[in-house]
Amino acid sequence: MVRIKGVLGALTVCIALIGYLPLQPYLDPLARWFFPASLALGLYLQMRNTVLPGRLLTPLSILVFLYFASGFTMDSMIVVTADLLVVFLGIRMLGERSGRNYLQVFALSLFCLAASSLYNLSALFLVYLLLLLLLLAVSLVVLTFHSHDPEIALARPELKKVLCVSGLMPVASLPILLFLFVLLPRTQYPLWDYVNRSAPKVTGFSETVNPGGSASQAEVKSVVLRAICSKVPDQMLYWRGIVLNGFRDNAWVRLPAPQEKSLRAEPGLSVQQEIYPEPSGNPYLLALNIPRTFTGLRHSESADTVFTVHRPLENRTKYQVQSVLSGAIQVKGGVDRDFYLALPRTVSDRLRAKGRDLARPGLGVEQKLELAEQFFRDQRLGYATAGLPVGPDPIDAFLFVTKRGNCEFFASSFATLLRLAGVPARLVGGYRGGSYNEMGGYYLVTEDMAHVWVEAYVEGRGWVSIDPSAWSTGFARREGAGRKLRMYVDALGFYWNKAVITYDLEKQISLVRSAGGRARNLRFPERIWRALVVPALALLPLAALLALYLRRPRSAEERVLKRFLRAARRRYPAAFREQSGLFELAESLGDPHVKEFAGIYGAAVYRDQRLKPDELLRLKEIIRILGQHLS
Amino acid sequence: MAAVNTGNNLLFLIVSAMLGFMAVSGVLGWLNIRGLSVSVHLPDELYAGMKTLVSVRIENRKRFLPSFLITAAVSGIPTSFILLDPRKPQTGSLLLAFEGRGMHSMQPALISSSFPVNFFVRFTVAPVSGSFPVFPAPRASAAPLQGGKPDAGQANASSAKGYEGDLAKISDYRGGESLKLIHWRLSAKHEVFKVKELTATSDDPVVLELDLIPGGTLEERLSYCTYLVNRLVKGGRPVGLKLGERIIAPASTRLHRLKLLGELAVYGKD
Repeated sequence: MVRIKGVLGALTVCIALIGYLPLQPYLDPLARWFFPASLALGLYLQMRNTVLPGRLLTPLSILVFLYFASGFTMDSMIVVTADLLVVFLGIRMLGERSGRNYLQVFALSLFCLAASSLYNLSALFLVYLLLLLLLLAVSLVVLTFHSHDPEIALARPELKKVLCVSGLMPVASLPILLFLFVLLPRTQYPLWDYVNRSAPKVTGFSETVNPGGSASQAEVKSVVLRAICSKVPDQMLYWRGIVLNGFRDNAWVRLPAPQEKSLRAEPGLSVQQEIYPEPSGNPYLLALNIPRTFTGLRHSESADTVFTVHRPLENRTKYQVQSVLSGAIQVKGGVDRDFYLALPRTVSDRLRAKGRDLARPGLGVEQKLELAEQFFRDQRLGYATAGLPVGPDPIDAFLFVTKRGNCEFFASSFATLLRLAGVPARLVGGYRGGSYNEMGGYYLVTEDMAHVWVEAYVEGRGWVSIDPSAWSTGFARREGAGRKLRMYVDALGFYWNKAVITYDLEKQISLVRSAGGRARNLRFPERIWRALVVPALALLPLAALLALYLRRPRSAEERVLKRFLRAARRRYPAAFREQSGLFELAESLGDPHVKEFAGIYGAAVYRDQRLKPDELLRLKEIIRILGQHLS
Repeated sequence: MAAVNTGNNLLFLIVSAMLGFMAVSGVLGWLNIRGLSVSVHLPDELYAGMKTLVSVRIENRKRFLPSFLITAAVSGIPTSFILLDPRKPQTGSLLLAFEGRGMHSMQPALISSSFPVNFFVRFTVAPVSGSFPVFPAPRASAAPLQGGKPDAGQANASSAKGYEGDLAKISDYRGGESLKLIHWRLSAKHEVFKVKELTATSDDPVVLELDLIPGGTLEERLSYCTYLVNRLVKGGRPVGLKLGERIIAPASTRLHRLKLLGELAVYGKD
């Protein structure tokens, strides 16, 4: 025999843990430690078969509430609420084990899980939710047994049956969950927007490029974006984000771009992408170089083909882009040469000399570019992400001393050299590469793929993309082991975001529209089918109506008799005989109301008269009384 | 604008899950109390106003789903069943008293359950078939009518039952016996209650005439008469009955006694 009390206790601990775990990383230290401590104490008390009295726990709850509430501001609202929920959950684990308290634990756990969705949108939520749903269903059933008799004990096979049947409930409710999730009305604006968290992140992509800022580059594998598109050649995978066109001291930054008219990309492969960026906190929209049109998001485009949104991307969203994979952006009417020839504060003599060499008269832009590339190749520069040059002039150290650097060194030194040579140049920041997920049909771009390359202005062609890093030795990304598994896991997360997280009013509307459209555009393959199916479909409701009409009692008298017989059958299931006449029935049931009904009804109908309105009312009243008696 | 309400969707998931769970638990609760049949096993002898032990047999006629936490109330007295497996009847017992003599029929049994979630209690009614006579409540007569003295030297222990003698045999509970006589230990092992039958002594035939039995009202006379019939037949004496012009010949069998009691139960009720 298994005591229900013990089962309920164990289930409650599991439920409380599921409430606590998803919130745990985001809690105040006090709340984070309070819960495990009180859970342990609660388990200890349970073993000793005792609990803490309410006169102790109630003041404790009030104290804790006051402590956390004192730190309440509009900004910390979520934090305070989450802390309070978890602490109350902890306190509940110490108290008396009554049905009401168990229900409180269940509700608090559910609220905790709901609160965790304000911090974390990962697919792990679904795991927690399904687990919680299962445990809640089982616990509520077990609680019902508990409230029937707290000391009840069940034999193992019996308990197994109870658990099986209660476990069936969440399984059966899954289709309803899906259905309701799609159907529940969405608002156009987020309910929780005012508590939106800002999510600053370690990012490889930045708005300044300052080679020598640190000796190593972080290799963060966190996801930047996923882009559904066809597979494109690897050497064309440049995701354009930002253009850095000027200097603050020695660092490349983005200054307001001068007015110019970028026309279009050179002819090339046109690729349509649907991009799902991770929340980044910056306003730049990424797309394959060179993006031409963005849709699906309100944005603005600057002259140097940089697309931005008005507010940083803090929510999950998506947009569509049309890109042309070509090497240059055509510009109408030339560019502001002075602006694009400005130099950093520090330029070493060696670099300056090289620049002068390239700037000598008689050389065309194309030749200058070739010579510069030749110079880079001759220097035998190596690609590295650690042991980067630092010091007062890292660019000089990179080019002439250590000869090792990452894309920032390559790009900024090359662009500086071009400017010294009199070729307008700028840096483009974004990402290079991407893992193509065959299963999901999308590119996955991670932070460690952050990249900077150069655009040089060539008269007649426009801004030509050049990636000096490509001339380095050792610039090839290796595929790590376990890539396949990572791709599967990532695909799972991707579909979660696509199907659940970004589901909104617009999708709801388009779903309804497309369903309507499909219904309208329903085509039947052959004439004969149309000849059969359409009339059949039209006749079906008619037939249903006809059937209803035929089965419907024809007069008020018949209707009231039918209702009466139904009520009487429910009231006297044993004594009721379907075939017996009304008076016979009244006699056998011995109910005065039934007798009265038989009297009124018989007096009218059996003499071929219609019921008078007041009689009809009385009969309906009797039917109502018969029905009431039952409950 | 695309995707402005991120985050909410997880709350929508929770809400959908809760709504789905509510719907499913509602259906499960409805299924739980469906397909139950109740039958009541009454003892042969029921006396008006006297508490009698009645067994309630309940069967889950569903094919697969067990029923949980079922309470079946017969005439307002509940009995509980924790788990009813499909097609495996279970029996519970309860003490019932019926008001007034005559033919009675069972009210439908009220079946209720708080399963699966203790927020609501669902009800349904299950018909309980059959009508049965309830005998008048026996009342000890003031008249000194005894079971008859045995002849001198012939203390013949009769086969009829008594209340004080030696244990003669164990038989099924029929409802008339005193609860004192129920053999609880044996009853636990059988489907029906077992009673101890104790020995008593016997005598000559007698015909009771209802109209001549002392008593203010008909009901009082019926009560006295019932008492006498029981007392005398159990004492081993053949008893007959004169009801108005009808005469029922004396006999001392149990069946005869039940016949007499049945007559008394419906007398004047036609």
